[in-house]
Amino acid sequence: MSDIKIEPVSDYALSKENRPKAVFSKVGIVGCGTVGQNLARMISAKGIEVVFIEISEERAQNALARINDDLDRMIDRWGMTSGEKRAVLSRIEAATDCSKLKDCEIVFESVRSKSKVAETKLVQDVFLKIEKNVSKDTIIATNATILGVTELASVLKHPERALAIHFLLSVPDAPVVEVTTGVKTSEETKRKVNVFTKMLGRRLIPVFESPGGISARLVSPLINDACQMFLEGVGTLDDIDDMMTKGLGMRFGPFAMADKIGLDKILLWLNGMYEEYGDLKYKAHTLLKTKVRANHFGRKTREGFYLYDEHGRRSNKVKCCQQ
Amino acid sequence: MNILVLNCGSSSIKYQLFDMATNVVKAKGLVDKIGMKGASLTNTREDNDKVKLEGEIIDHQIGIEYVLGVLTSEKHGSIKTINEIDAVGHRVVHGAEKFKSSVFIDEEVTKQMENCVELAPLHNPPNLKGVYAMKQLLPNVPQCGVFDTAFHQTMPAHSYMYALPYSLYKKHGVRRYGFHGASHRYVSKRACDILGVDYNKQKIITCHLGNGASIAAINNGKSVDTSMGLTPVEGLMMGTRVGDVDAGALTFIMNKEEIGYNQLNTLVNKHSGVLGISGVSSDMREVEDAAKEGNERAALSLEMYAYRVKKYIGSYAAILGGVDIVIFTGGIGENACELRENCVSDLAFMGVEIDNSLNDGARSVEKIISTSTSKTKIMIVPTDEELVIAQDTLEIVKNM
Repeated sequence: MSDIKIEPVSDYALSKENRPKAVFSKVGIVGCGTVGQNLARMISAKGIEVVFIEISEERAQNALARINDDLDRMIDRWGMTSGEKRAVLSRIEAATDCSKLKDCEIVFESVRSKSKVAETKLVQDVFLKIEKNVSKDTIIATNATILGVTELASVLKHPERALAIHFLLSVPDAPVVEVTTGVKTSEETKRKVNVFTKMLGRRLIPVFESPGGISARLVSPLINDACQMFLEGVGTLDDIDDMMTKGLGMRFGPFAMADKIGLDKILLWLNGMYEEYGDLKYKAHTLLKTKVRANHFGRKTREGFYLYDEHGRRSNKVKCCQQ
Repeated sequence: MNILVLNCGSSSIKYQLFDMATNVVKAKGLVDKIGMKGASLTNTREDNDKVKLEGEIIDHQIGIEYVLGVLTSEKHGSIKTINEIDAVGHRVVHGAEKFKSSVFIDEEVTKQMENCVELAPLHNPPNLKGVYAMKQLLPNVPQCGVFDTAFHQTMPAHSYMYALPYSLYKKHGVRRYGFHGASHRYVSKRACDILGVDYNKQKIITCHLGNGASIAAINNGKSVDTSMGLTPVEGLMMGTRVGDVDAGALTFIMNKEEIGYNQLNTLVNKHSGVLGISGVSSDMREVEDAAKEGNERAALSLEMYAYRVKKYIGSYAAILGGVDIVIFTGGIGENACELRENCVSDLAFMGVEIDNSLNDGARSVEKIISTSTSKTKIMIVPTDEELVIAQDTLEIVKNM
């Protein structure tokens, strides 16, 4: 229709006073591994622009391709339509240059390392890099579970803007999110993050600085104990899982849950919490350590306590642990 | 008197400005992609002056401000100041059992509307945002709410109850409410006006066939049954919604496909219906084209669509004890000639006879399409939900 005129909408404002700027129209993610990809997909699905930063063009493209695959899987599983997929992808930008984070209202770091000490240093470096490239109001968040927010934020010029937002990515439709604040996190930051989590359709569960938060701190010892029970021959993997799901109404049993979360991640959590709290219940079980050493991380490597096919579904083959 | 009608969706606002003295639409438009990139406001004035305004529109409040801004602007406006708006009518999707007719919105009503959010978590919150915004921007202008469910509040209990445990009705209001009320009410009344018969003495079946589709049985001016239920998923097959389905099939699917509540919701709302069967599209025109080119699943989806409408017409004729008027409305009901024909074919035994020469090619016009000997009149009546909202608002404001 050629007779439509196009004009800027701001000319038609009723009042001239400063309009509030859109909160969270753009979100940045540094590090786009599995967690970063999930974050990007979930945030974009809510209509928010996402830019993610990877260290090389190849990794960036690879992450985009995997997001694409994940969306296809969601369509296959009835969770999304192809029109929605196009919209989600159109809002995700992949980059290798941190200057792209410039106009983000919130930036997540999502880089992980093999030990708590190394990870703290790594995340602090990333925090600094983010702070250099964003405005002073931008919130800087970590998705880390066991690192102390106060320690991470201590390197920042504005530590009041930092906190941890922990999405339970192994249960992607969980309507809750753990938000851990540090000693210096400001009320304004908390308020804004509350708005942000609401935009994502999730209730914020506030947690005061405590490595492991609520979810990791409770689920890790459960998995640890389940390993011990299995090795003692108390029950099979399936029986232990079934008792907890069918008997106690948990959505996933400890082994299925461990495979979903990733055994490597759980090991990291346990090590971190053992170091922090010193309680033996957080001492990682040998079975867990052995599995991680064998790169049996769970669903993402198609082998953990159980075996999985290429679509991430339980394979019918004999379970690796049960012979 | 100028009445502004607002229909606020999750990320859009549709609006029309009516001059009620002349029944003229002075301006209408759409605010789209609210809170997202690429937001815009498109306004079309009575004289066909069209403008698309682009830029950041972060929420409904600001979207409505811009609507008022463009309506009162020198360049594209229809009125000089916002004081020329005498009343605002809001479309509200769910009114539960609280709202049996359109109402003046005061504090108490707002609270009750907030209580209805639970039943329509996707639709009612944006409707309410429109109400809040207008209260701020035009605090002295009366606002009225017109509910999709209100017209069907006359349904008797034996029609609206599900045979689920009664306690669920008491606890959560689980029952059938029906939707498209403004449309069913408008077209049924309008049809009686056209025919010159008494609305309160007719047995009418109204088929609102659009993107969503529902059918209503209206006895002596009162809705006695309708196909949509607690939510707009029940009843007829729709563009992407499943319509009637065995509840047991759903739990079976959840188990087999290992999916939860959210995915099941997407499955029955977005992957089903005409799209789900045809695999082509949810757009009836595209599906009709595909069927003509020999796509069997497209053809099947059309057959299923018409079959279900027909099944409902038959059952509603039974509960009404006959039918005087069958009405087609909505995008599909007003335009899909062949489909209309299939919905009422072979019903001569009950006095429903379509005249194909009148039906063929009839699109978006008020028209009788039954044969002169047909006991039942079959009609096309284009719907006008915005006009109903404006008229209801006028009625309420006049009596204040």
